[in-house]
Amino acid sequence: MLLIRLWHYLKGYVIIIVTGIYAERFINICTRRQILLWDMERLDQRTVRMKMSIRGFKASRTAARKSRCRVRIEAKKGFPYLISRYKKRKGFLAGVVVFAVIIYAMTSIIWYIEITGNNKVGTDVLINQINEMGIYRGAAKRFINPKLVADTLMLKNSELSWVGVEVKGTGLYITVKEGIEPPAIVPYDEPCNVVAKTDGMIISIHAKNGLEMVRKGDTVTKGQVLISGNLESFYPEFGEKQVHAMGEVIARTWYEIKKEIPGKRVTRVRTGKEFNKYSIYFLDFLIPLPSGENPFELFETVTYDKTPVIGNRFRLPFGLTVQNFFEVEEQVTELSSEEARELAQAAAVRELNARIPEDAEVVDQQMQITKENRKEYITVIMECVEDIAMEQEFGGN
Amino acid sequence: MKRKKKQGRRKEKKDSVTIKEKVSKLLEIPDEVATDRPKITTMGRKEVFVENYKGIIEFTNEIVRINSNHGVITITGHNMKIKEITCDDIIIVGDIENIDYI
Repeated sequence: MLLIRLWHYLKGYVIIIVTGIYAERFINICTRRQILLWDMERLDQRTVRMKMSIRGFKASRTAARKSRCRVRIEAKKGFPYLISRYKKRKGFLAGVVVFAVIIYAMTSIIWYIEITGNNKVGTDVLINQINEMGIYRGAAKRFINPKLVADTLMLKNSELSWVGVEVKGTGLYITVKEGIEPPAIVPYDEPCNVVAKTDGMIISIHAKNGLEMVRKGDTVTKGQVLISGNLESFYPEFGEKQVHAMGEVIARTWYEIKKEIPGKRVTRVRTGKEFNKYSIYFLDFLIPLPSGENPFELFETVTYDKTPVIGNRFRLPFGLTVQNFFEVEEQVTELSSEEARELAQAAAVRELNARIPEDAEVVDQQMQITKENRKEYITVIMECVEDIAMEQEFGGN
Repeated sequence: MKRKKKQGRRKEKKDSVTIKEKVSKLLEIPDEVATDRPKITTMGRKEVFVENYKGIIEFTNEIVRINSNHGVITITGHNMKIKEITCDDIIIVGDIENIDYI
């Protein structure tokens, strides 16, 4: 029954009202002419309502004349009428097409890339590598070969033991497993010395292999052999033996810095004039909008995004990027001697900390202020305890 | 004149067994296919299915009269509608009370 109804709908039909005393005659003539009628009901003495196919309706004209009935269309139903109605609405049709195209286009690109499982390899490193392969947010999905991407990542990163690349919907999911690196094999057959990394005073020396050349309390200079890998026999006729020297040499080291204490300070102050440059971004693409040239000579810039946000969390992938230029001017201020010293000290400490190796422990810090040629200088010395052992092959520097 | 002649012949057919019927009986063709006798099927009290009819004489919500070669079939009831009508069969739905040859 449903199938028949569907068939009628597809072919199209009309609901007609037949008015006349001889409505039955009209029905008889129609049926004899192979016109299908259905859902017929008597409304009152003179009128009958029924449904009829479009083709049948054209053929029923003569039947109506013969039976002296008036036929009036109450409604036109079905697919053909629907089409003819939408034929007039060109804009709507165009909208439907545009919608379909946009949906298709939008779903055929990558909208986000997710990388999970990486601890040692930075996400930005991996992202850069896949960018080189032409995969980025907005790249076409069908040009991505997940197997190739996985293989390439594996080849480029020795730390990875497994890479899974999956395109799911509009997302690219990269799952990474990092292997445990094998412990470094000590090359015992390569003889070497242990030398001092920096100058210092030995606190303790502990040789795992080789001959200790210095003792606790000795001061050593950079490059001095601490543990020798060249073992000379007590009896010269036995010759000598060369080993791979290893060991731990804890020493007290000093780091020193000398800086001039400035009398003035130059600061940059915003003048209050600003200039905005706008661009539209979509995913990672940036389309600059014409907004003129930056008129300032000295300036700072601040860049921020204005993104339409739905609700609290959902950020749309497109929006406006504003680059804010602030004009600045240099202002010179005289400093009091205390202020100047404090500033210089802070700067010196910062510089020293960058120079001291990470595994060194700072045990003492000293500061000295000297005057030379009317200028003040600050000297900061940091005393550290660190391992200064460094393996070095024979003959090398 | 022509029509009258035809009707006369049909009336004869009704009474005697025609050659057509004889042949169909011999070949075991179902009666309703071979002959012009109407077949009336009712499904519950809601639906009546009439085959081999000639035409409808009257159609209202209370009464449907259908002409056939073997007399007028009168179906009475309430809220009756014709669900489908073709040249071979007619389906009537509604609260049917009576089916008669009158």
